[in-house]
Amino acid sequence: MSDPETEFLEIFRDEARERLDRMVDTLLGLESGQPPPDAVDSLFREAHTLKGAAAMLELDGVRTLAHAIEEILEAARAQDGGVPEEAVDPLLRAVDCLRRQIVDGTGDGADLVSELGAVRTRLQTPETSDEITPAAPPTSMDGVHPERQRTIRVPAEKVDRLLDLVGETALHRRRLDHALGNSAVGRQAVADELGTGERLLDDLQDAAVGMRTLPLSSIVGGFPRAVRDVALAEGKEVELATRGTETELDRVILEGLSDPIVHLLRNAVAHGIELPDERERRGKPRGGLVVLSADQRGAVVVITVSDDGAGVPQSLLEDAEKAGSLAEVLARPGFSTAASVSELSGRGVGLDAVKAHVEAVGGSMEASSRPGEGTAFELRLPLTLALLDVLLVERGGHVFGIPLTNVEEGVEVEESLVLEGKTALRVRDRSVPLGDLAGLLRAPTAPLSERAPAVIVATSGRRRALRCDRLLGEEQVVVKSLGPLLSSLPAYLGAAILGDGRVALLLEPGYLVRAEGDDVVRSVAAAEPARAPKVLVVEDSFTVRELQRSILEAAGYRVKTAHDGRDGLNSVTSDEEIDLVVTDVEMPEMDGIELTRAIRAHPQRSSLPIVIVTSRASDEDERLGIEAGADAYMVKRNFEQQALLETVHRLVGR
Amino acid sequence: MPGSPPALLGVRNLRGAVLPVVRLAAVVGAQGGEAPKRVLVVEEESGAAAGFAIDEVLDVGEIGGVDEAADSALLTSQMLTDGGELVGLLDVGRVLAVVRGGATP
Repeated sequence: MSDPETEFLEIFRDEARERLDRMVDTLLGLESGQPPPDAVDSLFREAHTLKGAAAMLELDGVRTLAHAIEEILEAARAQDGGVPEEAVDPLLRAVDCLRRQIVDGTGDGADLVSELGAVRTRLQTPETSDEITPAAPPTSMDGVHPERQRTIRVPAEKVDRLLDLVGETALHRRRLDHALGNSAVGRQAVADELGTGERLLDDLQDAAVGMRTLPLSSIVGGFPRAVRDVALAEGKEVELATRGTETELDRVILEGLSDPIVHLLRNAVAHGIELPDERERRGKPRGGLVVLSADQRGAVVVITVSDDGAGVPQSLLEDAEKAGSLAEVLARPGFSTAASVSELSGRGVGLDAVKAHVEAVGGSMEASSRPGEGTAFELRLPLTLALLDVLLVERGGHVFGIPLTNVEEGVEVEESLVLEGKTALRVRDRSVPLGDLAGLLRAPTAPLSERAPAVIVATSGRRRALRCDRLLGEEQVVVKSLGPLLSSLPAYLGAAILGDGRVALLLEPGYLVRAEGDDVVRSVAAAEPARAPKVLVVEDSFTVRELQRSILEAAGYRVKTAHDGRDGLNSVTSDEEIDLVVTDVEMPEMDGIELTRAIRAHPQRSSLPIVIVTSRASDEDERLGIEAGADAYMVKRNFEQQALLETVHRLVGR
Repeated sequence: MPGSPPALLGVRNLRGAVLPVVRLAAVVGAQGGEAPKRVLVVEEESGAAAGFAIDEVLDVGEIGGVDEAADSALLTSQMLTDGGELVGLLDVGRVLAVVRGGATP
């Protein structure tokens, strides 16, 4: 591939074409008197984005003209919100001129810049009617322009279709090998052709994947400058380090990623890194470090922007604890860690926009921070297609794949030792924690045979030996997403379809080394599934009661029911297995509030979690319920099973 | 499938894609369903596909008189009477939401 600068220019051309097309559509809509509702804002956004990218690529002509467009729109917005008729034509010509400069590398926008300037002046002082400076005809410069790659634009679906077909062809190829078996041996000509076919298929696969992906390095070109500019403006000393920028990302995702990353980098410099004197006082080097790194983890690419600055204030960390996510807290619309918006971060996107963007492409954003040590933002982005080399292993009749980069070796287990109640394996004078793969995944299955092998999995400095029934061998697989229904399971990266049509579940190495070790040992002894928590549903309406029972049972809980508070209290005192109570408020005999009070006053069961589900929605009722000692209060009107399950899960941890 | 929500039977290969299969009987609280024979492929509005393990397909038809009054039952968004028989109309999105809600690590 060519150098990053040229690659980024190609991407910018593609992006700019789309933006300019949209601007023309909007302007034509204005001219015909049927503008889209947010015409001015959308024109402004497009021009602003083009300006930003052009500045980074040092395309000064484009930047200046885009800026002039932006200014005229700002003036229009300040007047009455609409684009005046007389401005439409010069704007259209300006868009054309931008297109010539960006796409063909020809033309000069200087005349248009002054023309737009004149229009703007008139807009700002509407009563004076200045003379319009006629625009010079576009000058065609057929002379030298930068050499560039020829580009064709193809809808993404077509490339995806091609990729699917390549994947299917690879599977077909494996089935063919399987079917031919040994019959091809001894027939040299056939064997040779098969070998050639395999090489061609590999090349084809690489070429097809290359159409869909680009390395992160293709957009990092302007980042050092962005960091330097902010550092200079803020009076700070900052170094930008990049790691893993050869990581390939989906082109479509990559194209929109430049602005969000620049925002995170600027944030890190402006709000993360302290002033040099301040750092010195805290015993840190005067210069701060901002690290941009990328890392492929199965079907996800993680891009991290971290700094070694002050970290976010303790109060925010406490908020984050409550909200469950620091990213959530920092990305609240309108929230800014800066006391004042600095000149450089200017009109750029906010953290909420970064989060929204990442989520729009199917990813997620996470943040972590340690006071005094720094802050890190993680963008987890899906890779629509990923090829992964895995080691296939079998346990309990299932086939699992472990990324080969995380496999240290496969070993025979001859003797294990027990340290502090945990089993470990001795491998070349090193002790590695040993576990059963099935235990780790909480899969009830037959115990391992005595000679069962183990795979040593390592990631981020931790390792663990996992025993399974058989090691099946290495294979390159196409990673497929498990879909929204299963993507929340932390143990899996995705799945792959094997040559024989079976599905292999791909395991997340991080989960394998970190998941609870206790479960492993216990399930090696006896693969007994953990007993499900038991929920008591107290409700006088038969329908609601049975409904809640079915929801809870479907989620794997054991359920007992009671038809009023008195009945419920009897169950609580007589059945020790009850782990949680879900109760209605209005019931005959004893209502939910009385039941709650009675449980709280009970000598043995006073700490039982209680969820009140009621049709009473007033704050006063909620206060009564909480005061009586309920752990959660939910209103039936907007009662959602998901919310109930989440609450129950939170309280009894299943 | 290890660690998956209890209402999930597993995943299978559907023409090269990975399809999660839901134990429908467990979700709706029906009897039996121990050895479902067929998988009905459904698609959510968001485009996510899933399979429902079922005993058999009785009929495919258009729905006529829908009784919207019974929308309090959460999984069946509506009930309709078909030739005197009460038929629950499953809300695919809600069924899948229930399955998701029961996920364990």
